[in-house]
Amino acid sequence: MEILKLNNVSYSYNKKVDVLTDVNLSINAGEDIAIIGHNGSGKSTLGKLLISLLKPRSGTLSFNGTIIDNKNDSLIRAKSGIVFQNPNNQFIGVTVRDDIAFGLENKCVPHEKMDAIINEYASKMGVSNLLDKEPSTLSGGQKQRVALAGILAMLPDIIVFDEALAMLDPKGKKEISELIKEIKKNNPALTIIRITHDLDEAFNSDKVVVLSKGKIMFNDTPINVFKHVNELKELGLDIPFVVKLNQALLNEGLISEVDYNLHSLAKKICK
Amino acid sequence: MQIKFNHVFFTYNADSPFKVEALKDINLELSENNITAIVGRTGSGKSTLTELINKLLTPTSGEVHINNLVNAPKVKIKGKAIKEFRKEIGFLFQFSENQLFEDTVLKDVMFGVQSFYPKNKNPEALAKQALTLVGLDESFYNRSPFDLSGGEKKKVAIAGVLAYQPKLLILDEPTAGLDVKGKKEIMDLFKKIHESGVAIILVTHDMDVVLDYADKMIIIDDGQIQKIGAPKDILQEDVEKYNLETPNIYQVIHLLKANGKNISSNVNDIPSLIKELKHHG
Repeated sequence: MEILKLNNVSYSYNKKVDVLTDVNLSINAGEDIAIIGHNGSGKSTLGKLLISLLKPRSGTLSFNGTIIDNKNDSLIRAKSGIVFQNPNNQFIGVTVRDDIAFGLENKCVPHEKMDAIINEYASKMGVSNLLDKEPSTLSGGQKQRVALAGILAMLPDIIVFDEALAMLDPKGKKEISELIKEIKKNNPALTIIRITHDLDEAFNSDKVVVLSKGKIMFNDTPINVFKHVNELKELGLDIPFVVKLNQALLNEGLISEVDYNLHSLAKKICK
Repeated sequence: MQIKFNHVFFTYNADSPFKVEALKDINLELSENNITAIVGRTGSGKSTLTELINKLLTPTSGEVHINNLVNAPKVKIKGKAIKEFRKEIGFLFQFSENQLFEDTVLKDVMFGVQSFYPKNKNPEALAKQALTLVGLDESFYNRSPFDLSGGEKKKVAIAGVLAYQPKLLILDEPTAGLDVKGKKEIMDLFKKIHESGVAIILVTHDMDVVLDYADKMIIIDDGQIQKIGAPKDILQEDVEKYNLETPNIYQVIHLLKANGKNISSNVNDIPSLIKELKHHG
């Protein structure tokens, strides 16, 4: 079922240069989509338009079939959340607890129920012991967990990750991607939109949308998208290492069929 | 640029229950005009190390020598003398794109020159030169830094440091948040800057960047230097115990070796691997 649809959407920040031009995009509920493109291609803008944090200059956004405008945008706001790249930009509360409470207060959840909800999601995200801390004292990975706890407490249908892993160290990156996987497993209907430069992250999504200069160039499964090595190169984009390696091996006849799992690929090479 | 650490210790909150020994007996000499990568997990002490070079911090004990300048507990350095440190050493923080504040790009880039060299007659020329080096032409001069893309902002921040012509550039995670092209562009730019005679210290989590650009790498863990040497030697060993990512190519090589394949230690990218497999298949 289609949850989000952009219909001929254009957007510009200063009315001179279009950041996005005539974008059409349909996303089904439960899809895990990666949006890739070079810096300045319009990725973050697209992410924000998809959950109505920005309004199209022309064209429309539909959420579950309803066209979103200034009057009804609370429909999608209440059902979506965004995790930013720099976690420091997203904290409002003085303590972690306040921060998670913020969204719930906006949603008018009664105070007597709030504590239980906060505790539940803090525990799910593994930050129960941090509830009384100041967000600024946390590590990058902890901050992203807190941000996720706040969003999940709102029972969203859509989460946008705007380069949410980019600033984390390898351990933090691994932990948060495992956590996202876990969240998705427990809630298959959740729609995930990942704005990312991480080609491995994109490769593991259901679909990859490639943006360039404000236009969608590709919108397909990762394998189909990353086939277009030369076109992607022209757009200044690379392809995942494992795809590159497979192509090089295949070209030289060192393997007879592609294998995107490094372990079994190594076995095939050694046969 | 001569950098020497002599039995350097650094402890945060030394006289409190929250004391953290960030660096324990660091001895290090960096004399060549290299690109040196400092790597290690979050909290390993790598940022502390760079902040001692720039005199943002003073050692708890031991001495840091930077050319003729000394950063040590008993050496009092104030005002002007601190400027001596800072103008020799350009420091580009993570999220450097957030440190822009002037209303035009040109003014922003001129700021450092003006504060370090108030008598310089032509800060504008130095600023323009720096902007050209980072690839921003005159159409950017009068634009507001806040209207630029993330990558462009980063370039403005780099130009702001280059404009006062430091001899050493310390880069804290310079490629974080950049796409592949942006990453290559900016690292190629740093390489060009390095070739013009500026030593570079690079703090990063990206082992592909280390492998491709650094002459030397230092692994810090638990406040101590664990490894120091050429990236292509060190990265072939087990670095995951330091919470570092093994570059993709070495992951494959490890797997091939585990399956009984002999791969020479010169292989460090896909083309050389393919060549090796073809010739010794």
